[in-house]
Amino acid sequence: GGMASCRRLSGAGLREVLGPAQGLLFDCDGVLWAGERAVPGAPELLERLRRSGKAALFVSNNSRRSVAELERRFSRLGFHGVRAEHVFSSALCSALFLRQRLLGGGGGVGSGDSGGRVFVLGGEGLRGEVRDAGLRLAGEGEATPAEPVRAVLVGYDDQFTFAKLAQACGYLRDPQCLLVATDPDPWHPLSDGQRTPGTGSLTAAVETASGRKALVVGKPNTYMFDCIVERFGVDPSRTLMVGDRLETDILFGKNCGLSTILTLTGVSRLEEAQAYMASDSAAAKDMVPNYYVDSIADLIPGLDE
Amino acid sequence: AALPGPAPADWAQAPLDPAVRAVLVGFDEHFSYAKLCQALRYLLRDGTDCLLVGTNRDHRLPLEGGAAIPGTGCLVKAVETAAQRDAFIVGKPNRYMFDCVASEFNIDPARTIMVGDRLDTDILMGNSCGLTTLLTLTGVSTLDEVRGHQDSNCPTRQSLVPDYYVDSISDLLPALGE
Repeated sequence: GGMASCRRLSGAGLREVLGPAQGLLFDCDGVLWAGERAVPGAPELLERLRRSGKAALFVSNNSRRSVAELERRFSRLGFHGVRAEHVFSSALCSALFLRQRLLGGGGGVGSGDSGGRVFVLGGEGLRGEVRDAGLRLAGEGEATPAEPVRAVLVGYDDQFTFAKLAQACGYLRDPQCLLVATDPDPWHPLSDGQRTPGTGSLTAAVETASGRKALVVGKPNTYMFDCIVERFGVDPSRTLMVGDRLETDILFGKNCGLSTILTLTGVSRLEEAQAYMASDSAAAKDMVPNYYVDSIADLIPGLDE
Repeated sequence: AALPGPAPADWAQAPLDPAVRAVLVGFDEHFSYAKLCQALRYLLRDGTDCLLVGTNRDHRLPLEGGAAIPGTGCLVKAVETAAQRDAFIVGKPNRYMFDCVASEFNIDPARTIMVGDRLDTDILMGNSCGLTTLLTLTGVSTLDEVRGHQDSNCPTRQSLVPDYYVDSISDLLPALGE
C-alpha cells in the first residue's frame, strides 16, 4: 500500500483498528515503562487485552537482560501474567540466530563438532542466553584448534574496552567467523533525559576495525518477527506493532507487514514522524507510523468492556 | 576524573567539567564504554557548543605478520554513531595538516613532493593539495591496489593514484648529488 499517514488514534478510530486485531506486539522501553516506572495505565491496558482475548507479545532491542530477568521485571513493575515465552529480546533472538547458524539442524552429530565458540561483547544477561541456546563462550586467551571462535556477538557492553575490540578483530581475521550484532540502536535514553551509548556505536567500532559488516538481529530487521511467527504463528495482517522509536519499531512493523502505532512516551517526537512524512526519500516514508497515541493507555477505550 | 560507581546510571551522574568545549578522539588503548559515555554527555550538554574532533580515521595499525590492532578511526566511529554527528578530522587525507605545514614553511605545492605508504591517507592528501605524490612500497599499500584504482572508472579512486612509486625511499639516494 501507500505511505502511512500518522493519524492520531482516538474515539471510533480506536475501535475500528483494535477490534479486528488478534494481537499486539509491544516494544518495552519507552512504551510499557521508562526506567523503573511503568507508563501510567500500561498495566491496565495489558490486563484489558487479556480479557478481550487478544494476544500481547513483546519485542525488545535491549540486549542487557535475559528473558527470565525480563519476566521478573514485568512483574515487579506491575504487569501481571507476562511469561518469559511471550518476550522476544534481541539477546534471546541473537542466541537463536547463532544456534541456527553454528549448530544448524541438530549440530554435527558424530563429527565431534560443537559448532565452535562465540566471543560475546556484552553482559551476563546476553551471555546466559547464548549458553542457554547450547553454545559455548570464548573466554580470555586463545581459541584451541578443536574449538575455534566461530562468531563474534556485539551487544550492549558497558564493560567494552579497546582490548576487547582488539580481541574481537583477532577472531574476525578468520573469514569463517561471523560478526553478529544484537541491535543497531545508537543510544538509549536515561530517565533524566541524558543518553547512554547503544550497541550500534560499539558495532561501528568493530566493523571499522575488521572491515566487515555485522549481521544485525534486532529491529528494524525482521529476524525477531520470524522467531515470533515460529513460536506463536501470528498473522501479520491481524497484528499491530506498538513502539516508541521510528527508526527501529515503526520500520520493523513496516518490514514485517504490520500496521504500526507510535506511542509518544519514549524516544521519538511527533515532529520527527511528520518530518519523515514530508520527506522525498522512500526510506523516510517507511518510518511513518499508521497511527499515534500519546501513551498506550489511550488504547484502553478501544477494547470491549 | 575518576567515575563513581560501576554502572552507566552512576557514570551519568558524575559532574561534568563546565570548562570543556571539545571532545578530542585520538588513539586510546584504554578506550572504554565509560569514556564513550562521558564523551556523549559533553557533546549533548545543553547550553554549550561542544566540538567533536578526531585526530585521524585510520582503521587499523598493522603489526608484523599480518596482524593489526584497531586504529583511531574505530573509536571516532563509535563516538560519531552514539552522538549522531560527524567529527572534524584533522589527519590525512584531510588537508588541515598540510595547511599547517604550508603556512609555517612557505611551501610551494608545485615544488613539493609528498612521500607516503598509504594511498587513502598520504597519497590522497598529496593529490588533493596539488603536491607531486610518491608511493613507497615498504608499508601498507601495494602496487596491485594502485593498478586497481588506475583501471577503475571512478574519479574518487583515481585520486588515490600516485604520480610515482619506489620500492623504498632509499631508491631516491642516487638522484641526490654527491
